[in-house]
Amino acid sequence: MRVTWCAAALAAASWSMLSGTALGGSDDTASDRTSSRTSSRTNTSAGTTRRESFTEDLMIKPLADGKVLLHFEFVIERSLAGASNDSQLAHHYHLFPRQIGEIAQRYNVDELHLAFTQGNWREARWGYPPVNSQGVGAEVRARIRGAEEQSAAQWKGLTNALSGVFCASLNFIDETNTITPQLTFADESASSSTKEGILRQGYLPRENVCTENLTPWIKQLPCQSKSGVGALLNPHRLYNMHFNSMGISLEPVGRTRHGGRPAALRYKQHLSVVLDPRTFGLGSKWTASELVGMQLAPACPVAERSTVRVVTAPGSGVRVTPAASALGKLAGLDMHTFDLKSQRSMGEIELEFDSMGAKESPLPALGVHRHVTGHGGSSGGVEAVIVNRGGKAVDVTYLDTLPWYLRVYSHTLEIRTQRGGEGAADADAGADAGADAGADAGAVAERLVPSRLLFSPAVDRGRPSTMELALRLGPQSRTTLRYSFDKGFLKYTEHPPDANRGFNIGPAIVSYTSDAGGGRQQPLYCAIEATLLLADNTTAVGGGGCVVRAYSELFLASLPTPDFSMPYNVITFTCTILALFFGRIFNLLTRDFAVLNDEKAEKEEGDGVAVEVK
Amino acid sequence: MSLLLSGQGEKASPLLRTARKYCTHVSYALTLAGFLWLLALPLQTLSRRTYFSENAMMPGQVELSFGSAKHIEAMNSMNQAEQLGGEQRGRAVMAAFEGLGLDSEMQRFKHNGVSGINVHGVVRAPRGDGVEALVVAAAWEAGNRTNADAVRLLAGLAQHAIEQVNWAKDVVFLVTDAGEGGVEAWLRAYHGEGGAMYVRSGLIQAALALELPPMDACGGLALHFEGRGGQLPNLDLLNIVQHVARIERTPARLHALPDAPRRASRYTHYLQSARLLLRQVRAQAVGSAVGVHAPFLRYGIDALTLVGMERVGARGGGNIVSVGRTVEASLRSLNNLLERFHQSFFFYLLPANGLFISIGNYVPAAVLFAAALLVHAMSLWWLQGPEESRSESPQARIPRINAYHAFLRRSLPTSAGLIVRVHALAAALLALPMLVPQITMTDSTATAYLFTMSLASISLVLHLSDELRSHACLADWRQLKALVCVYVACVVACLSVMNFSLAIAMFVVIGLPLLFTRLSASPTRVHRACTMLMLLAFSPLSVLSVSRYFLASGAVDQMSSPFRMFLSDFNQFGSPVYALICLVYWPINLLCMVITLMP
Repeated sequence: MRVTWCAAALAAASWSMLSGTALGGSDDTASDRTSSRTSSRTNTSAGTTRRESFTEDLMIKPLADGKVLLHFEFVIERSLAGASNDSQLAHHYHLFPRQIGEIAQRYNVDELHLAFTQGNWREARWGYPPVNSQGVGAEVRARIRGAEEQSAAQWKGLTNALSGVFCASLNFIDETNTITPQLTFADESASSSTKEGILRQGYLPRENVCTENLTPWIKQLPCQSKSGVGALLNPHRLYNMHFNSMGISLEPVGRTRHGGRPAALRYKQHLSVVLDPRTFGLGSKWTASELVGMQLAPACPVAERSTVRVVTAPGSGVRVTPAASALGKLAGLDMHTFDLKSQRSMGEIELEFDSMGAKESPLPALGVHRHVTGHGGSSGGVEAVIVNRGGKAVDVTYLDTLPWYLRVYSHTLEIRTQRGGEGAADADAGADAGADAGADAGAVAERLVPSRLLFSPAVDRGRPSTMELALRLGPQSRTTLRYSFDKGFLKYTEHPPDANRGFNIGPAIVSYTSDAGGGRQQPLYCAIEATLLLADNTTAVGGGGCVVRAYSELFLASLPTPDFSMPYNVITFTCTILALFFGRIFNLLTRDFAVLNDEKAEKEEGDGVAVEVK
Repeated sequence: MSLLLSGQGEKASPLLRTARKYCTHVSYALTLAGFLWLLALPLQTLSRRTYFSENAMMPGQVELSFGSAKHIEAMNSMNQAEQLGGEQRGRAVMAAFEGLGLDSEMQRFKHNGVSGINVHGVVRAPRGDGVEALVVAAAWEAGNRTNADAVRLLAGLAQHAIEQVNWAKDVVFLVTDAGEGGVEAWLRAYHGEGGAMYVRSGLIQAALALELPPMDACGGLALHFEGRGGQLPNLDLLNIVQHVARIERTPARLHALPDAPRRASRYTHYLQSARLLLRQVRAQAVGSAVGVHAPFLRYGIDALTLVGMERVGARGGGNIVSVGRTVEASLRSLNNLLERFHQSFFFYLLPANGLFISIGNYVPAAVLFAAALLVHAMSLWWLQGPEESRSESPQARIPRINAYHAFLRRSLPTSAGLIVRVHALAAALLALPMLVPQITMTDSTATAYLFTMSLASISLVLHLSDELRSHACLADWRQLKALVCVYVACVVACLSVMNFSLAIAMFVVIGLPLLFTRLSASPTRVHRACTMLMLLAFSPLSVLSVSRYFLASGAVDQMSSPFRMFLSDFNQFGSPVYALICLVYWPINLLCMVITLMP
């Protein structure tokens, strides 16, 4: 697998160079990032029209169970307003990473989301996640302009190119793990009238995330990890974690009503990690530098904004020193903002906790868990539980994708919902399991009919099966989806070449619109979108709400697996047995042995002997 | 067919003629050889030293940290729960798990007449993808003794697990108050087959069950590993636990039997191995599992039970912490498992700690038995045709063969019909208690039921033999016996690759009497009576009654009737013994009686 990656990386690299030469041939083909960065700096100092802007933010949020969430966000906005033609856009990059720009242009990408995640986001303990893509593994989503077939080819090229850029096995995304969801990513897909193109999603649930992915990601930052918030990106600490999600997203902002060219392109790089200070021997009082093992550096010179924000629950007894340059609110929490830009030298930001294990953060309105049921190698099932903890009914879409070798019986789909008793809403938080007494749980559950159901069955070795449901979940309810599948038998070359414990199956995704205002119930992701991003948040917020997604756990499909060293032995052994024994026994059983008592035979026999004697 | 038919003429090859002549003797010789092979199993020549087949496990190569003050504190957090009972105890355990930071859930269950409370807590692997899990389980009571120490140790291990950052798999801690039935109900819910469960983890790869009866000092561990259906965990799992237990100086002994001293005579070694093998064969054949690991095996999860043993003598041994360290080391080693357990052996007999007999070395015994029955069947088949004269000309053979074929056409359906009828009766009689759901069968009703069934079946036998006597030409006893022999040979051969011990047991209770049923074509009355007595002695009624005393030293409660035990095992755990009694053992025994009484 490693070999393929490198090959892909090389291919992509040479490819992008080739395309660069072919398309541009202009002077900055050979110019590297540093020179473009200097030019941008001179631009800003000269006060010429700003085409690109850059902001960097870090949010530090102590979590309920004593762990700490660090959320880095780097945003580059590239204005498209002044550009008169495409080629001008294509070849003038200052802060915006050229490789991403070129890839987007080459493959007609309008919108791109890529996330690498390791570790499950434990919503029942940590509350709302800071990002929307939190499924374990690697996820790519892109909206590509153009006709179906053409964009399919573009999608293939895109994943290969990204594979090279991020040194990940994204090139393994092919038609067997690509889907075109209709409902779940409605905020991104073409269904909203001003957008065109097909949204595709590819998922690699087995992808491991490590420094080799982080390094190219850091390289895209204007100041890399030399100054500003980026200086805190210490791989040694970032990968000694409980959750790590790293990603990029490229989306147009400020699009005009009639589908014309958007006002700007926004390129966002984010990295969220959950660290446990206790792992590093830190007690109830530590500084940000101690936590990440790096010193805070002065702001990146080209950044328009460079902040560190400490977000604490009001009255949680966390003391933040020194005093913040600004105090604000984020999702109903206290936000201490430290502006790195305004301070020449940054001291330490110290957090002191009164008690380990801060106050309970609000649980997300929705949680989804999905597990595999059944045992044995021939069949199984899926059981997904969606919990609505909120007091209002919610419209959600549920997206479930299974690879072709799990053959789904769609007629077995059964959706039952249960109005939460005392324990229904928080039983999965473990606080109370009073209501889930096995026997009587099924009795009160009633059938739920989805308002919309899209099911695309799998094609063997072609495409996965996709199920999208639009459901209306009652307040304080628990909804259980069940369906069964048969396990296919793979050809022996279709098993992965590495140690085989089974196949990881990607998560189910529940997506819903949160219209909780700015209060404590506001999803963290929405709060970050609204607060940290400077520009108008028209893309994220559609119709007053903000689309939030919850990802379920992965599960392991353990298929009947041959012992790969055995076939050769077995084949040779059985063939020998067949040849030696079966033939003889078969002969004995089917032939009628009789002694022919005619003299001829004896004569011949005698002759034969005579011949032999001769 | 021609081979079989040609055996009858004098024109057959000399080899076949000789074979035909000595066939019966060969079958007895094969039976004897099978028993000799069984007797040879405890000899060390047939066994090999155990070894780690999966090198990635690396047992005993991590630095252990269990036993800190914090872990002891966590262990003490269960003290309060111990005083309570029922649901309150469950809530207390759950509170303790929650306090340690585990995702936990309480399960109230009622399944097959067993009800109780299970509590489990999940330590999520910090960086893992959460698709695999290991389970550590303990019941509040083990047998009649309290097992609170094991539950306490579980809490300590949970505290330890939550501190560790190097888990690749989730670790699930399960406390049940209904022993094996509780674990079964938990597994059913976990696999979505009954009951609701919301806090789950991934695919369970291995499970360890703990039993620590109250004791002053722990002198070692006893390992129990057989499942209800005779399933065995992968040998590597046993190897790991034995290896790390030795390091922790709590030697883990199979079925609590220590090895013979190294200097002891070969005879002592032989006897000790034979004792250990007998215990395994008994546990495997009867399916009377000792320990709560057994239900896991049915779900394809490798599992075993570790039982603490009282220290003998004043020195050495360890305490609860050293048992905890053994479990910790085992878990850390299991955590290294990259794939499912698939290397090493799933079929083995263990004649001593550190030695194993692989399937290739023990299965020949069963094969010899099956071969004995087949050879016997062949000899009977050859004999069944009408007697022939030596002077018969080849031309005269053809009408004789035709006549023989006609005979076959006539009698085969009768013989087959007999077999089917006896099976139908036995199945119906024995399936009755299964059809009545949740039957509350006491020992006395079980015995009464057995008696009734025996009477019914014997009257059927008498009726059938009467019927056959009146139409003497219809069936031939040789043909019937040959068919039954082939049938039993199939059963023994098939069972031997799944559950060797059960195959041997089946051969002893049905194959052996069958071989000695009706040794001559026209037995005397005395002969018939003796055979009938032997068959009655080997009938399910008497064997089940006697086996109560044979099984008594094992897990089975001396007072309970084995029949009832098999029935409840079948209902609750899907143990196959009851089905085999119904569908094979009983009808074959009856058929043997029919053969004896046939004209």
